[in-house]
Amino acid sequence: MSKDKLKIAGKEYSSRLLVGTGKYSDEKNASEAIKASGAEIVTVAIRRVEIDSKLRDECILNYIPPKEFTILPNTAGCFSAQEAIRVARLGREILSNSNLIKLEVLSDPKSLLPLMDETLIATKELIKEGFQVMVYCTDEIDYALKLEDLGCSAVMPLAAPIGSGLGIVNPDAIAKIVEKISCPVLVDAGIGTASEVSLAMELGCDAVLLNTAIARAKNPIMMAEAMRDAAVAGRKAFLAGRIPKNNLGAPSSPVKGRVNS
Amino acid sequence: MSELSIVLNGEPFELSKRVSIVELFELLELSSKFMAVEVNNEIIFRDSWESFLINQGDKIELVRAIGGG
Repeated sequence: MSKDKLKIAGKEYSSRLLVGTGKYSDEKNASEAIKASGAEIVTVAIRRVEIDSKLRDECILNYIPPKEFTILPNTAGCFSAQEAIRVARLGREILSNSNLIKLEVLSDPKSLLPLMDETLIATKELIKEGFQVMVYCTDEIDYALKLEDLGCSAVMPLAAPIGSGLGIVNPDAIAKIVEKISCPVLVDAGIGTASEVSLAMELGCDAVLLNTAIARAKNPIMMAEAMRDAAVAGRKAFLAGRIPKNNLGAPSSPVKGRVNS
Repeated sequence: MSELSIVLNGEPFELSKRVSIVELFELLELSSKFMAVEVNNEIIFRDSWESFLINQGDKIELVRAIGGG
């Protein structure tokens, strides 16, 4: 297992769990849970400084230092390619020219579903500008194939809407993407609990990205540990190879030599 | 007396004199670590912060990383 690494944008990682830093009560709690998750890639959002706020000097990167983690800025809250490209450029500047970006272009503030036509436009432009783009997308194979053709660094279909905790609503679609796509496939968004992380890994996903399921758990640190272990268990099960499903029973003990035969 | 009116992160803001971006951070008593700056929708790269002088009417965005998923 120690040689089984996740490779994204030319870098290797031991952990197959990526986590977000949002929705925590404060940045100290976020940092403790994130450390417990074992994640090496951590997402952050890009926002205006609130000049008049007491929290104006708070910065998540003081708690999650870029020297220890790969920081993945996102374009959350963008509803057009143009908005997302602008935020991606700002993210790159904040992180002193790290080119990794999590691209999300959303269709509307309620569903938070990906707006794929704009996502494709933004992917193309950002790649042209030298970004390594990890793309939040629908679970439709046609879009995944287009994103791969454009040269994205990861295809990240949603399990379910962001923050919904519904789990993997369409495992067959995820399995199809895994089968057809050769760049890394990550399930991003919609995970509610540990078994769903394992399922994503058992389907052959390269990794899972989640946030709310840890941040809003009753005990975020314990949930972070559960998610970490679930990713490891699911990956091992995938590599070990599950048995075929069978509608009939098959005895585990030998039929030959039964006392009552 | 106000010399310059700018828009800072979407809000009107008055400056008593023309300043550079480095001086703006000092004026706001704000650390510039892990920040990005846009002036009129163009990113001003960190190595120009000292020489770039803010103009009347400039729309300035000071942006940072916060918790997000």
